[in-house]
Amino acid sequence: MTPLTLRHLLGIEGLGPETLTGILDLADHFKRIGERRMKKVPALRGVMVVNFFVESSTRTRLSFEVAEKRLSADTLSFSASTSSLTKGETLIDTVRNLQAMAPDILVIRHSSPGSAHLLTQHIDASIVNAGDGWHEHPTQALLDMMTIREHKQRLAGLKVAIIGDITHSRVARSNLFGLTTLGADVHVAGPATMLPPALAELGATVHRRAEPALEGADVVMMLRIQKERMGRDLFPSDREYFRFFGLTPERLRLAKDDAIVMHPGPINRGVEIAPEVADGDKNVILEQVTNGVAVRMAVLYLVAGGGKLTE
Amino acid sequence: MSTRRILKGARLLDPARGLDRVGTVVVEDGRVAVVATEGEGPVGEQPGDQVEDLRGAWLAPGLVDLRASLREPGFEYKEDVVSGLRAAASGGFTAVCATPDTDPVTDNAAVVAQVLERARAAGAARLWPMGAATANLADETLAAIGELAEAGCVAVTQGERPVKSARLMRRVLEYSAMFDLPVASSAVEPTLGGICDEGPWSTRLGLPASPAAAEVMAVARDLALAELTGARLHLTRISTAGALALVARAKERGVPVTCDVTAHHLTLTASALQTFDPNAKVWPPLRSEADRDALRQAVASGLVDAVVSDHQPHHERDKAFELDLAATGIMGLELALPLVLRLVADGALTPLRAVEVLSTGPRRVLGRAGDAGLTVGAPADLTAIDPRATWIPDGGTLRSRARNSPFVGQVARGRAVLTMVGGQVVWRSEDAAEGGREERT
Repeated sequence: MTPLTLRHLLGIEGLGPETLTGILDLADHFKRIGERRMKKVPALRGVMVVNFFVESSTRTRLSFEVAEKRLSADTLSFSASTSSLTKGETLIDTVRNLQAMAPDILVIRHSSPGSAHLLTQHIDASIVNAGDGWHEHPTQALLDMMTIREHKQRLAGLKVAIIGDITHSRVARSNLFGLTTLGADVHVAGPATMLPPALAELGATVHRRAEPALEGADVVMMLRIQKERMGRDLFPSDREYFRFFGLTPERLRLAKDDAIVMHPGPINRGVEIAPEVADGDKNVILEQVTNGVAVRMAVLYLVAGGGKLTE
Repeated sequence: MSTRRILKGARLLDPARGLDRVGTVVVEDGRVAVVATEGEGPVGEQPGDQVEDLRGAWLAPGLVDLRASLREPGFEYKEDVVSGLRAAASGGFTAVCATPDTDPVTDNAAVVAQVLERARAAGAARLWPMGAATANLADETLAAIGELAEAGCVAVTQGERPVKSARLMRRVLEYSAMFDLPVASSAVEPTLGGICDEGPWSTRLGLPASPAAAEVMAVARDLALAELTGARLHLTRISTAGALALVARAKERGVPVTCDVTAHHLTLTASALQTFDPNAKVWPPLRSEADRDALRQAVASGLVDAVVSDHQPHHERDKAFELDLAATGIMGLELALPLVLRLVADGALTPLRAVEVLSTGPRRVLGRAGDAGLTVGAPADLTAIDPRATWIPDGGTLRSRARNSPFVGQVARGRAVLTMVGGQVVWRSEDAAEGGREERT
């Protein structure tokens, strides 16, 4: 078996099954480290990681920071407010400034699709995409796949329902690419105003109602509804959204008895998911958070050059 | 007595006369003096004649670009009239219709006079300005279209977008018809905008998308208004099969409409955005393969009247951005001809039709069919083309100030070897050879 190498992690699209499985296996390994009393390993000692968050994020940024600390990396985090970075000239200038400090890894979150790709042309560091607009959120998909695999011991052949605003969701896109690559049967559902065209060409079965997607599902992945989209022209109200797409206990009964319920967070209780489901025994939402650290450790380790893990 | 110039041994291509024969053209006093095809006997060469050996090349009526933004006045850091017209000449164009999206806007005679003055100094392609359809391009009131016509404008246009209100568009058409000016409209419904064609690529890449329907509905509106008013409508930058179908039906019914497509929409599809390359960000967006194939077919069939460069030169500082923030457009004056020649090499177009969509076709759109041609007495606006020359568009070969094109740095096939305006040579490809990049295959 050839050793797994990864120069950047820009997206899930294009990664083959061996690479995805390899990252997930490595993440399982790092998760075990996280369960020890001494959680820190020296794997990235002397490696400089910059967390560059141009779009606000608390959870993803914290998860990366924890992963970096556990790997003993030198880290620097900064959030540029979008107001001071309304023009990409400033983005590229900022990144050129960063280049002068010679970081090894740059983790970027940005509202523009393709921004992670753009940076690869302006900095020598390995780029890890922590979410670029509606395009991709690869570490989220990896942690979702890791969580599913822990519960189901496989991905191939599982029915996964992804429900919500697909058009504007980088989480949905990355999961669609990864899950289909690993052989899962992906069903997406959402209001017709938030379903982009040609999803079938990307391997998804598309539904305009939640029920057929949920029917017999092994995994139910609810997407966060951006409240700022409400009341414009995508959907009339959170009440109406919940009425047709909210995950209620009744709807959840359509899924398999051992189905798991996932959510990338933060949750809008009573909008995309009923409070009793969000807090119910099928939910694995906090496991997703734990696995997020492990997956990010694996990704950082790989883009830093990998090599032999020292226990 | 002025020097005669003898253009010898070229493949003479004049779509207006269906001419496709090897022969010789003699130019004297800025006009075509003799056209002699092979078999009509040699042209008597006299001492003092300048002889251009064009064996292996095509000789065509001068090419005309119906749509280029030259950025002057106002945005000279991107391009100016002189650099733009020199780029045009090296791209084989003998005349360029410049869009009015300048600062100040080309909506009055003073700006027109200023750019025409600059054009005379360029010693390159002719400038045929297009005036603004609405005052200051603000989309509120009519521009002084009569004044623009008298100042030398060849058409009016709202520029990048259609006139928003149907009522105002109707008035623009009616008013322009008084001066026999065509109204060029880039018709895409603006409330359905985006930066990628809506389809598999926008879904994969997570890009805001504009559906083909946005063009179809705007084209339908403009066609209905052209039929209502009887005014000349020129639909520019058609990018979808659906819009072409509407144009075909309108033409059948006798609606006074013409249309053009860009060279890059004939070549690229939405897949060019997969690397998020800002140089592939154009408006209308690059479309599906099916749309591109429909455009090619419509160019071959004659439904499309002209191919344009839609030259949109940008400085690197406008393009070195995230895709959604980067400026829109491709620089194209020097690349339109090679892209059309690529279709000839692929067998999608005949040489005669390729020349037609770049020369006599655009002239007919403007009502200037008699302006040039391989006809005795016509002004000697001529373009000699080597369809096989390979070259690399880059800083050493491009005359434009801009480099914003996915084709920069890629091998291009075919180029103008001699461009003549009013009998004067304004471009000769040896100039490029001095740049060290030209090689013949």
